[in-house]
Amino acid sequence: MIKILVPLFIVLVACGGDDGPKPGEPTTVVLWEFGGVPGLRDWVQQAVEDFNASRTDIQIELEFRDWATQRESLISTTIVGDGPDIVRVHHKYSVEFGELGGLYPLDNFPDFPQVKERILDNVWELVEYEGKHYGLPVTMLPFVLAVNTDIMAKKGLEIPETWEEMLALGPEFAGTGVDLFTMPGGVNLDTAYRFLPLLYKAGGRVFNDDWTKAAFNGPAGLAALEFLIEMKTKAYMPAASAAYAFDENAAHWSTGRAALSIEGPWWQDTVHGNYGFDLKNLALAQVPRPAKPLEKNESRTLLDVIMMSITGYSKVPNEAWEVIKTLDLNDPVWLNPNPKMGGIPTLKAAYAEGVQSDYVDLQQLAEAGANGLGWPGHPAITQIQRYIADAVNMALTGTMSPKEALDFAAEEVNEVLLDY
Amino acid sequence: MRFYLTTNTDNLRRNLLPYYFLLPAMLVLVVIIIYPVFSNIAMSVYKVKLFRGAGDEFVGLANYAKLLGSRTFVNSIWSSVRFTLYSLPVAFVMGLGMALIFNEIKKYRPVFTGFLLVPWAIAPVVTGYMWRWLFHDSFGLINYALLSLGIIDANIPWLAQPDTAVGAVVVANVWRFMPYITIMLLAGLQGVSTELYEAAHVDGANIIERFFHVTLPQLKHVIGVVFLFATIWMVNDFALIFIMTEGGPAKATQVVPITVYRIAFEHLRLGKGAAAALILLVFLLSMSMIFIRVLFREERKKSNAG
Repeated sequence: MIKILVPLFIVLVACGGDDGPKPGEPTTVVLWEFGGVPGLRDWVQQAVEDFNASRTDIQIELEFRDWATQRESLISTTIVGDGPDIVRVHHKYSVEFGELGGLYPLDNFPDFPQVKERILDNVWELVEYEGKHYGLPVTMLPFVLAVNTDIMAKKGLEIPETWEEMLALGPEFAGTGVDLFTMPGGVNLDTAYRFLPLLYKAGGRVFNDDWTKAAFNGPAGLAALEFLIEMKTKAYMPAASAAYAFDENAAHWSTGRAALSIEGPWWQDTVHGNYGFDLKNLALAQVPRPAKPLEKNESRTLLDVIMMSITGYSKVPNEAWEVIKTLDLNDPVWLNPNPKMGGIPTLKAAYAEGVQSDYVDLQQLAEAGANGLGWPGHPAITQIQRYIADAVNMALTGTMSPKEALDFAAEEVNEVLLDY
Repeated sequence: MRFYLTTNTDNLRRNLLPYYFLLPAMLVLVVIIIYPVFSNIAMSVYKVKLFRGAGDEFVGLANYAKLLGSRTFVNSIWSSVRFTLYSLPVAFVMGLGMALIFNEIKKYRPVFTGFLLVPWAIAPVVTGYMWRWLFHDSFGLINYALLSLGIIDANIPWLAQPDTAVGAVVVANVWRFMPYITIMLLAGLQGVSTELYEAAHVDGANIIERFFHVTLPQLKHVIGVVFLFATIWMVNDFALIFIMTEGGPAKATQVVPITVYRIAFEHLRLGKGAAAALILLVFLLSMSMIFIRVLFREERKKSNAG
């Protein structure tokens, strides 16, 4: 029996919980990097090495993770109550995991008001839930119109500002083998991400004012979907767009097969880096809106934010905050908007006069960023995005009319909202 | 008396010995099959709340009622049945044809068989991506070939229309399953006695008659097993379809496993997801029972008669 118990005891001791650093040893802060683009990964790697070399009190343990697995990772670590100290994730998780105690409110830090002051005001609402802020917004991804200026110039066309102007350009493209517009319209969340900027531009919103019912099936949503369907039926956009995921849409646009697409700051790096698209033919503009607003809300565009969050179960929140400030607030990389970082910075100083940037049409991105509105911070937002994507896909394939598709999705969303 | 007791204990030990050897395997079975199934059954009658710490809410059969009343779930059952009904006969006929051809090849048969296994050996995710790009409207090889041959005059958006998307996933599935069917039937064919063919030949049976009266009856059991396994695998298939279409367009290829995944892991409705998985399990068990009953009907009759 002793032969069994002694090794077992040794194994148990070896697997025992870590009670933190011993006196004189540095505190380890574990960082899970869900950042997707290669430029950001390279920078993080270097920044962590520099940090670890310069500090004796804190050491960062960096782990790269797949962007697509962030929700699953947060779910499992939150249930277990153990995992990384810091995560770089999408802002929509601030509500879902803030509510569950999976993320740490930054308001607890005494210098939070000074940090908050340095970041653009409108992005804070995206990481806020019940008055607390669950992440430092680091980069923002406003949705804009990506334009192939070569195609437009050859046809002598101006960039459209309204849906009506856009539809009027259609006949110039029909039957030419080049589409006026393309979008990922398959059964994936990218589809919902292309519908929402149009909904917001038309003054629509996802929910009603008190978030008790879906509102995306109102006049603005219906008009936005009918606008897309009209472009599809008139062959102004590819018939296959109802199956496109992000990559296929990017390939279609980058190879000169379409003039316009609704994209964001990632587009420049994607089309140039992956498809060799000549950036002198790229221009960005605001997402077109209907000539007349269709609902009472302000016309805005969709905005996503990437945030750095401290997990709710971290044993070293103060050290984690120190790391976040050093890497994602004070590092000079955030002062110059850089297309390789996947998004534009949220620091006010990045938009000061005289700041140099390699971004094409940074001004358009900054304008969209300042005007942007995120997905509602609802704990079930991923499920709601799925229902909206399904509705757009149903309508694009002609399986349901736009009204039927949106009403069907709204019914499902209302059922979800009842649970909260 | 002492002698008697010892003998009795020895006998008991000897009788129990096989069960001791079975114990580890039984334990593994309990841990990896019995426990998850019962846990799943229990979960399916609850509304599972992962995080809130409020405990799970007992809802009885409400999850089942919701699922069976849901248009999406019922459609996904039909999608699974359609996917299997379209794929299996085509894959079987082609696999049988290939097996008959391979059975006639005497030289280098192992080499050809090795090549034949490639589609079956490739991971379904890779197969899915490969076929997704083959069916791509503007970059796909299929449209390019059809355009070059003058069969079509414009690109077909294969994966963007419900009917053609179903066809596309069926083609990819047939490509993947045919080698398995071929190998199984080839093994069956090699067990058919040549004397039966010679006897049929002497009786004046032509090649078609020999096929229907000798080959097929001799392959009956192998065919039954092939149908049983292929049905289970096809109804359970997730990766190939998910990679190719994600269940779209318009949910035309959203088979039950994709619906279960969406309910359980995207929407985090674990109770409802468990109920959906159990409905799938019951469906598959029923199919298997029918197959097994049909397959062993004659043996059962013989043993009853004996």
